[in-house]
Amino acid sequence: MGKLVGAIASVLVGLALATGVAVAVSSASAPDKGVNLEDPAAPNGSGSGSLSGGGSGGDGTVNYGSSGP
Amino acid sequence: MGITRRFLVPGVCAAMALVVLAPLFGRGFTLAYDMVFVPRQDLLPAALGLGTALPRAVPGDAVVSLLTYLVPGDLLQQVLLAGALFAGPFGAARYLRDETTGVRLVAAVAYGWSGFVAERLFIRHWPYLLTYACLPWIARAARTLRTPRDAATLVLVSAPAVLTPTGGILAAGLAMVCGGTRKLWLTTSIAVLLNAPWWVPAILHPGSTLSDPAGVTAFGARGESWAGPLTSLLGLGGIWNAEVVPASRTNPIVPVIVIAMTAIAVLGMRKLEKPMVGLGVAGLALALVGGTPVLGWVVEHVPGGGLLRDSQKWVAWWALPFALGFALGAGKVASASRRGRTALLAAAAIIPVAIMPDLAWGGWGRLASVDYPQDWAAVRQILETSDHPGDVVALPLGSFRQFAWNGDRTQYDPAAQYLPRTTVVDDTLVVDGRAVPGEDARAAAVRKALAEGRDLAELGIGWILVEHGTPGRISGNPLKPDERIYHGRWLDLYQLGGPPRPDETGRPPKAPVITADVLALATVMLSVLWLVLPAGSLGRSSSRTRE
Repeated sequence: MGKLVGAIASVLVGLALATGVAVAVSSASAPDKGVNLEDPAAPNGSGSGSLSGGGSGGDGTVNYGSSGP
Repeated sequence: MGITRRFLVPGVCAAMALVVLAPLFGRGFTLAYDMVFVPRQDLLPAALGLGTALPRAVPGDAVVSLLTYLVPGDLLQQVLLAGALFAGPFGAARYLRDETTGVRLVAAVAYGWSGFVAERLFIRHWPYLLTYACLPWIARAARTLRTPRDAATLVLVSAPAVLTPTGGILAAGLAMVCGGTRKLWLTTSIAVLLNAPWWVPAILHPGSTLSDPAGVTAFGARGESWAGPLTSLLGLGGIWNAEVVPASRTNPIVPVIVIAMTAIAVLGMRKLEKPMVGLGVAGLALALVGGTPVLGWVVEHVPGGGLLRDSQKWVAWWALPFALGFALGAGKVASASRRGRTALLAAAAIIPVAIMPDLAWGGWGRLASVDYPQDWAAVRQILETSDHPGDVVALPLGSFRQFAWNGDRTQYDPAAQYLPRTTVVDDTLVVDGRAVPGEDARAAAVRKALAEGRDLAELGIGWILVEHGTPGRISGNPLKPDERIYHGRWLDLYQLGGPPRPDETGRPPKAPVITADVLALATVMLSVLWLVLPAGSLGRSSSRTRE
């Protein structure tokens, strides 16, 4: 039992460390694409028209998802 | 050591939930795909199934609405997600309470760190995650169903699972199967009562309850690797939407490991109840049927058949026997080996995490929290305080948005939840650029009126909300500059001139729907009282009063 606890604890610590390192690396290589209030796609007054934006579907509607490979 | 052993399993379950959800904790909303939470959600008729659309999110919307009167929406969202991700694996471990700590730990990890959890989390189907979390508890409660107290327990562990029709069916099916034929009358009664808030408005819905078969192909289970859909489903993945699949699921080694895990699980399933395993296999079969012409016919001709079209969700029934069987099988293999038992169980617990590390940390950044721009609160306040009647229509037409303020993430339009009035949102879904028609007759009527340039007031519309910074065009020309009463960076609100006519789109009758809600709520409340109050306490207190 002691070994099991030790093994699980080691795994958890290892995973946590790996997670932290990976997140740090991914954050550095691809900065957070979160909130973007400063450079919006097409809000009011952006000059690109207030009723259309970047577009993802053929007629400008947003795709729910992709079922392709 | 005893304390360590006691808290090891719940500790690991909590750690798993934390590792996945840590980026979300704090103030702010996680908005993507189907998950919409708002600061405070009003209790509108649609939340009870009294709207013009089919009751797909009933009674979940009503429950969230009531809870946001008590708790801010963003905190509620975090509590629900964390609760689901903790309770599921913990329940799986509790189901095997007579097994060793190591075996229970393997069960917890296999159930909690699964393809189903990852994909349903990334598509933000939080009610399905709640259902998934409840399944081990439901199976256990139904298996030990003997006394009224057990029945009350079954009701309470089923209640969070039945917030959507799919969840209700998953929970009811498992309870009926695990309860056995002798208790079938009881498990069926509980299922009928708890699910009444959605099935009553569904069968009384005056419009068609048939769905477009175009959705069957789009929403069928899909293979995530060279090994095809069956292997993906065996490993609890295979969701229709490729965009929400963790990259690790496409690794060519994963199918090999999944097949090995399945072999170990089959070994362990001999110790499980056969009906539960049978239901799991049935769930796999149902998931495989998705996308085939058979299901297309069902969806087109059988009322309510549309429930089957997102077919991967039925592998939730397979998840429990798979995870429990894998843990029991690993335990069996470990027991048979003279040396390295601990290492074997530890390796079995590591495997689910090792083959899908990108569930951690919100899927490597897939999940993030944002705040709504101030425009939303401003528009809400206008609609709350204005005497001008009528419902709202959200433009551009379309169910989904990609707002710049939310990192262009695909998200369901929050207008229907955020605004204090009924808001018509077009329920047409676009998958791979192809439109899958919706079922809401009123949304269809609004779409037609806009295309023909007719007055929306004829359809009970008094307001138009225009959402900016998201793809989409507005057909027709319904917007008049002098009717605009709010102009913000992200939202404009137009108050249409003249009083709107009452909308005549068919809705379910109120009385039976409210009765169904009251019955379901009373069932839950009575179960709480039954468990909280000592048995016979009311009788004793009344006799003492007489003395």
